[in-house]
Formats: sequence, C-alpha cells, structure tokens
Amino acid sequence: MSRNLQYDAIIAGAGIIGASIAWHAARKGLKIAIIDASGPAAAASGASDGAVSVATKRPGVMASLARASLSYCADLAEQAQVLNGVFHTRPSYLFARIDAEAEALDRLTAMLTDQGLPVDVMRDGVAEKSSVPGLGESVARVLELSGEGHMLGYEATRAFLEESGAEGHWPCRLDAFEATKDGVILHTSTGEMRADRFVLATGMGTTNLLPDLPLMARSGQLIITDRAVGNDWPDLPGPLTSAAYLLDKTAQALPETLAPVVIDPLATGQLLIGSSREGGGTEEQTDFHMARRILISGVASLPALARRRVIRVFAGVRTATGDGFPIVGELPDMPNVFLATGFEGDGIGLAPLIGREVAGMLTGEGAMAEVNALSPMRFTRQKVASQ
Amino acid sequence: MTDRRILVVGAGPAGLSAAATLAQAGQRVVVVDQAPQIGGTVYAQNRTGDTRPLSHAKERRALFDVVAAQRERIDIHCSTSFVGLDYQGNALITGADGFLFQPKAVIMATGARELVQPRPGWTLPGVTSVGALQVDLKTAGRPPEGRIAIAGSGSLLYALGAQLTRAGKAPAVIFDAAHPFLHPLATARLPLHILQEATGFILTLIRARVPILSGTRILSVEEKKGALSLKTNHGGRFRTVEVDRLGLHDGLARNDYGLQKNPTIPVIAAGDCRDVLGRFAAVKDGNRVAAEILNLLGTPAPGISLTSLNTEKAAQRRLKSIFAHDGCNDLNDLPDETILCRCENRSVADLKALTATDQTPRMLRLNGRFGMGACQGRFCLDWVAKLTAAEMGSGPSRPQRWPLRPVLIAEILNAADHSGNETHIEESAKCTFR
Amino acid sequence: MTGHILWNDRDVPYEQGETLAQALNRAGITHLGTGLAGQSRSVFCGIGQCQNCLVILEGKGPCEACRVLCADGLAVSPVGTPHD
Ligand SMILES: Cc1cc2nc3c(=O)[nH]c(=O)nc-3n(C[C@H](O)[C@H](O)[C@H](O)COP(=O)(O)OP(=O)(O)OC[C@H]3O[C@@H](n4cnc5c(N)ncnc54)[C@H](O)[C@@H]3O)c2cc1C
Ligand SMILES: Cc1cc2nc3c(=O)[nH]c(=O)nc-3n(C[C@H](O)[C@H](O)[C@H](O)COP(=O)(O)OP(=O)(O)OC[C@H]3O[C@@H](n4cnc5c(N)ncnc54)[C@H](O)[C@@H]3O)c2cc1C
Ligand code: FES
Repeated sequence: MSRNLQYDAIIAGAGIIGASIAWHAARKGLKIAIIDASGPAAAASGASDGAVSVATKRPGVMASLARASLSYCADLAEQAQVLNGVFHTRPSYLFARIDAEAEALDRLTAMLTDQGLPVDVMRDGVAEKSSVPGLGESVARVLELSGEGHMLGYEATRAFLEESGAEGHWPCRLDAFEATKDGVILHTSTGEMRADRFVLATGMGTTNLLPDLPLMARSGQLIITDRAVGNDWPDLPGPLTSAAYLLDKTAQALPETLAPVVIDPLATGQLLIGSSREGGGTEEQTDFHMARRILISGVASLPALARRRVIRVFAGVRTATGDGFPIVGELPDMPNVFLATGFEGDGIGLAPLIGREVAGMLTGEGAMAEVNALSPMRFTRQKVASQ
Repeated sequence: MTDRRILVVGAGPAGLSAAATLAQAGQRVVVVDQAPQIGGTVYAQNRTGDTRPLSHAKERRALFDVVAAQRERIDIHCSTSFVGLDYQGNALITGADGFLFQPKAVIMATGARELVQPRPGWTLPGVTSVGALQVDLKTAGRPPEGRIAIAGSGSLLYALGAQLTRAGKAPAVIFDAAHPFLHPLATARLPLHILQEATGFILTLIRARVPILSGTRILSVEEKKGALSLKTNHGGRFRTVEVDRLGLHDGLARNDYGLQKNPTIPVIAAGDCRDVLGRFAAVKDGNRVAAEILNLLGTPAPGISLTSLNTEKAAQRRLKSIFAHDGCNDLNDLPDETILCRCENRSVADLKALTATDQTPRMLRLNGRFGMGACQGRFCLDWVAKLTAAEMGSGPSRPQRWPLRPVLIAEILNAADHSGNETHIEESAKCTFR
Repeated sequence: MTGHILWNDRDVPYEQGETLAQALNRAGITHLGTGLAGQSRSVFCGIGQCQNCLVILEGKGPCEACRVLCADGLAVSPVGTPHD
C-alpha cells in the first residue's frame, strides 16, 4: 500500500536539527512533514549535554557560526518565542590544572578579548578560586565566562516540533529516496511519500542512505546523577569544564586524573558529567573504564562529587565528518535534496541557526556565507551516491 | 583464562541453588547480594538478638547446607551490589567489597519487585508495601506498633497477616480486592505444600478473629490526627476505617531492571527475576539455569527434571486466577493530583498534560520524566504503561543500562580493578570513607 | 552489642543487626526528610528499591536507610534539597 502525500518539504530525522528546520520552514509558510525512524530526539539530541558555547569552538567558521547561533538563541528565548524557557544563559567556568591547560586559557582569554565576542571573561582566578566553591587542590586556575548558554536537546526538539505545526510521522523509517523532475519520492517503512523538497537530517543514520559520505561515529559516555545531596554540597553556579577540552587531540592523551571532564548542573539539581570522545560506538556501548576515567578526573577537580550518586550512564553518539565541519546544503546531482548532518559535538548550539538557514535554502532565499561553506559540494570528488 | 569465575547476582533461593549447582560441577562462583545477609526475600534472617523461631527454618537450613558444602568454590559477598555490565563484559560490583572483574557468565537472580498501585495518599508516612512490613518483621523480629491494615491482592496479604499474628500482633483488618474464597475448585487443585501453607495462614487469621474483607478496595488514604484514614469501596458501599499502618500490595513482577544482553558473555535470569513462580520454583530454576550455563560453557551439566518447575508454574497460574480482580481499572479514575512518580513528583495531571510529541517511549521519559528518577521507574512505569497503552500501545521505554541501582561515585571509583584492564587510580582521587 | 547512631545530632540507640530505618523508627522517627513530591521520606519498599528512605550518611553520601546497618557513631541526616 502506498500513500500519496504532497508536501512542500519532507524532513527525515526529528532530532534537534530536523525539528529546527521544520519550525523555520513552517514559519515561512511551507507545508511540512517530518518523519523519524523511532521518534523525536531518539538519537544524539536526546543523549547529549546542551552547552551552547562559543568559547570552546575552534576559531574560524565554527566560532563564527557558534557566535551567530548563540545570539540567535537569545532572540528565540525572548518572551513568547519558541525557545522561551528552553534556552538559558548562565555563567560557565573553565579550569586549568596543568601548565598546558593554563596556557590554553591564556590563548582563549586573548582571543575572546580580541574578537569582542558576546562572551565576557568575568574573572580569571589565577590566585583565588572562590568563584566556584569546593574545587580540588589540583585546580590552579578558573576562568569565569558570562553569556554562554544551555538548552537540553530534547526540550528544544520538542519546542520546535510543537510550535511548528508540522505533521509528525513516527515510527517511520526512510529506506531510500529518488529525486525526479516532479519532486522527491521517499520510500519509507510505512509507505511512499512525495514532496517538492527533501531534507536529510538523519544524524548518523545518514550513513545507511549515503554510504559514501565521510561520516563517522564518535561516542561519548554521559553520566547522570540523582538529585540527592548532603549539606556539604557546593552548589555550582554553572558548568565546570576542564581546559583539557581546548587542547588538541594529542595533548588530550592525559593521565586519568586530568582527563577532559565537564560537570554540568541541570535545572533539576542533577548533574550531567561528560564526556569522552571515542571512535565508533553505539548507545549500548557503555564502558566502565572510560566512565571511571571521567569520574576520577571529576572527583579530582571537585572532591564533593564523590558523594553524589549515579543513576544513569549511557553513550551518546556524535556524527563527525572527515574534515571536522558539518555538512549542510543541496546534494550535487540531486536537486531539491538537502543535507544537514555531521554536527559532531556542536549540534545543539548550532541547531537554531542551521534551521533558519536551511529553511532559507528550501524557499530559495539562500543562506549566509558561513553556512554555504558547509555545502556537500566540497566532497564532489568523492562519489556521493544515493540508493 | 581458565580461572575466570561465574557471577551470581542475588543470594536468594534461586541464586544460592544456582551457585551450588555450578560449584558441584567444579566451577568457581562469586555471589553478591546487596542485602546484609544471604537468604533473599523469603529466607531473610532475624538479625537482632531475638531468638524466636524463623519462618521456613527447615527449608532455609537445607538450602544453606548445600551451599556450605561447596564453600571453597563459592565466594559470597553481602552488602555488595551488582551495578552493571559494560559491553566488554566487565562486571562492576560495589559496596562492602567493591571490585571490577570479567566473569565468564552472569546469572541474574535478583528476585521480584512488589507492585503497589498509586492512589491518593499512598505516599503518606505509615503507608508501606506489604513486603516492607514483612522484611521488618523477619529481620527485626518485632512487629510494628499500632493498628495495622493490609490491603491489595495476592497470597502475600495472608502470609503477612498470619506472620504478624504469630508474632503477637494480629492485623486490624485485611482488605482483599479479589474474592479468593469464591474459587474452591481452583483452590482444591493447588499442590499440597501450597495448600497446607495457605490453610495454616487462614486458620491462624480466623483463630485471631482478623476481619478479612474480600472484594474491597482502598480508594484513598488521608492523614487524620496522626492516624491513617482509609476510604474503602466494597461493591459500591463506601466505608472509612482508621488505622496507624497500612501495607499495600498489588502483586509481584520480575525485578529484571538493567538485565543486559551482552555481546561477550552469557547473561541469564533465574528465579523470580525470570518468572515470578515462588520460592520452591526458584530453587529448581536456579539448578536449571546453572545447567544451562554449564552447557553453554561446554562443560558436563547435571540433568535437571523440569516436572516440579512445571507444577509450580501451574500452581502460580491457578493462584493468579484465584486472586484475579479488576483493581487496576481504577487507574483511569484516579484524581488528577494523584502522584504517579514520587521521585520526580509526577502526577496523573502531568501525564494527561503530555502532548502528541511526547507520546513516544523515549519522550515519555525525557520530557515526561517518568522513569527518570532515583528508583529508575520501578514504582511508576508499570502504571504509566497501563495509562498510556491506549495512545501508544506501549509505555515509556526501560533502557537496559547501568547502573541497576543508584551508586555513589566514591564506590564506583573504589572498586578494585580485577578486570585485567587496570585503571590506575591515584591516591588523590581515591575516596575514603569510614 | 548495641550502640548509638546520631540523627541530626540526636543520639539514637540501636540493637545489633538493625538497619538505620529500624533504629530510627523504633525511636519514633519515621519522617526522614521531605521528598520532591512533598511526601515524607519514610520506609516504603523496605528493600532498597524505591529510594523513599534516602538519608545522608556523613562522610559517605546519600544511602537508603532500609539497607544500611547501624554502627556506633554513624551520623545520619536528612537529604538536602538543592533546588525546587
Ligand atoms: C555525549 C555528547 C555530548 C554532546 N554535547 C553537546 C553540547 O554540549 N553542545 C552541543 O551543541 N552539542 C552537543 N552534542 C552534539 C549534539 O547532540 C548533536 O550534534 C545533535 O544532537 C545532532 O542533532 P541531529 O538532529 O543532527 O541528529 P540526531 O539527534 O542524531 O537525530 C537524527 C534523527 O534521525 C533519525 N533517523 C536516522 N536514520 C533515519 C532514517 N533512515 N529514517 C528516519 N529517521 C532516521 C534518528 O532516529 C534521529 O531521531 C553532544 C553529543 C554527544 C553525543
Ligand atoms: C516483598 C516480597 C515478599 C515475599 N514474601 C513471600 C513469602 O512470605 N512467602 C513466599 O513463599 N514467597 C514470598 N515472596 C516470593 C519469594 O520471595 C520468591 O518467590 C523467592 O524468594 C524468589 O527467590 P529468588 O531467589 O528468585 O529471589 P529473592 O529471594 O528475592 O532474592 C533476590 C536477591 O537479590 C538481591 N539483589 C537484587 N538486586 C541486586 C543487585 N543489583 N545486586 C546485588 N543483589 C541484588 C536481593 O537483595 C535479594 O536478596 C515474596 C516476594 C517479595 C518480593
Ligand atoms: S524503603 Fe524503599 S529504598 Fe528503603
């Protein structure tokens, strides 16, 4: 049985990227359907931290995209806007325990002041550590940033979907698609669907549909605590991130007491503790040694952490690309088929901006230069094939 | 690695009998139990000075003797929890003796969990599960103070009632949602050992003149002047009863949370964790699963007769029909403010407020917060699944992930690494507590 | 053997083999704190599953009162409420 449905655009993948595209496109008056193999926020968007950060991004395209998205997030979080109550700004803290990390903080401070980013350096506590209570002996330096933000991937996904009015179909798995001159035909587990335009926002699932794209999984262990604390718990004003994250990949091969760690206080009073960056992996692939490495480093930075209880641990899977940049734009040789994937560890922060820009592509208005730079055209030498 | 051991989680009848069978076949076994002593739920021991005879003392002795005979091959750790298995097959054990190791296989004998249906007032102090009253009675040897009501359904109501009576503290009343005494035919066909035990319970209760009100449900509980005021419904007749303690019980379900399929080693459930069939079946099932593991490992296994297991299974089916009732239908009539999940403070109204976007197993958890609290959904997910069945066909998902129970970060780090993949824990990071 | 545990600086006697919850309840302390749903933190399941009896063991962290055996001098207090 095949259904013949006509939409202006169909979006495959109801993660934060697909949901944001759906909302932005619907606002432009397009008739949208969004399909997902399991349901909203079923993959990375439901299994990640929600830092909307500029400071930790590589200078260049990624930093300027992050900056643009951060200020756009703030607009969308205004009264009566879609991300109101979902996106928040809050202070965040980067800390250093060894010289290499302290130097990374120096470079960061210089860069932030140079570029006049919307992120201010509040306090560089070379001598004092009082801005964050309860830090371990080994923490030598803390940098306090204001203006960075946070939103939970699943809350943003939900908000975009609810407000979009787009037609949601799940569970509905996309198996193949064809671009014809009369539009795009999708073959799904629940039948055939047709639309003028089609967006693939299927995260890691994209590899099954376009096997030649240079996409790879980079999983990360996430550790969630319960809410219970004793009287001696030092209430954290914002997330604590070790500067090891700013070091390049080789320098990150640190002993476990210094492993990269983020301790992120959630609105519920729980903590989200992350995260590793492992090659490959699936959500089921939890790893005690990796989790212990993160926790050892966490306890060394914040000793009271030892007295919190873990209630959930899982591996989130980031979709990384060969060159480290997301892939966004129309597919070469496949008119009206657009791709938005490969956001690795940045998709939460970038989703609002990417949604807006991809919606512009769908209506033919076009997109900003930094987003055009992410076009899949850059892989044209490698064959990009569809099934 | 020839000296690798088999992990048995739970030192109840299923776990202990499995461990004994494995040890008899020459295997080395590690048994962990989160409780302070072995015995599991039914053979929980009196830990205080009280010298009153224990219930089931003979059965318990027999089981413990079989295990004691294999002491060199069985390592038992109490007050020690199994926290999970990672995908490489490492088992994390925390508590009194914490360690990380690679077992050859895992037998999950974690027993059952009690089902307690939410209703207004079920979160008041003094309202507990029937099992909590029973464990307390067994381990402290002392019944609670005040007037006790027992309510819900299932044979456990009568077991507790009789045990309290024998301990000198007959319950004030038993409310049974079902009509167990209207099934003489099914009752007569129960196996002798179950019939004898049940008759003993009922006779004890009758002699002590304990009122047993069948077909009666507790609609709500309120706190009034330091006591609990219960509103009951008996076929449309409403009554109010005042007591000090209320034990609620709406059946048993497998405690198979976090039971993980593992790509590297076999993980098999035994006893109530596999199928809630009671203590006699649990012993047999332990033997059976041990033999299954031995077969999988390619070692000679004893032949296990399944006859008695099947008898117990038939008996449990009969008991279910005897205790069948439509109590759960009440769920749809629960007032909006009724708490469904106390860990995350989620009520019936919160569930009703969820939208179409939230109606997927994953979103019911992420946005609905059902199953996301510290009890990991053990006390709300069954009911949320029933309440959302119409919209979704299935309830919130119950991902099989670690930890099986909340675990202190200090305990995760203090577990000694015997996995052969040593993580070096520096002194500064190692946590000490008394 | 018997001894004392400390509940909010109050001496509570216990008998050998009693859990924290049993010793506290016997001393008339059934309200072990307040849960998120406003409910009294008190024993509910009795076997370490429901988390309703959670208390803070000094020097260690949150523990189920129904699962921890008393030992002389153990200091126990209610769970804090950082948010909400
Ligand atoms: C541990 C971890 C921490 C992170 N922390 C941060 C952070 O702090 N800040 C930040 O900005 N980002 C962070 N990220 C990254 C962020 O989570 C991702 O970049 C983002 O969620 C990607 O969203 P997406 O919509 O592209 O993909 P996904 O959320 O993966 O969504 C893809 C969707 O497509 C569906 N799908 C797949 N195949 C098919 C098919 N064939 N048919 C139909 N549907 C299909 C899936 O079911 C899924 O719902 C983190 C990620 C991880 C893993
Ligand atoms: C509350 C309650 C009361 C009952 N009362 C009776 C009764 O009066 N009479 C009767 O015949 N039957 C009773 N039953 C049923 C009876 O307990 C079971 O049929 C029988 O004990 C099942 O044996 P088992 O070995 O499968 O599980 P259990 O005897 O329940 O043993 C399971 C063991 O696993 C341990 N455990 C669980 N999770 C972990 C973990 N993560 N790490 C380490 N250890 C863990 C527990 O501490 C427990 O000791 C009762 C069941 C319950 C739940
Ligand atoms: S009473 Fe349920 S965990 Fe202690």
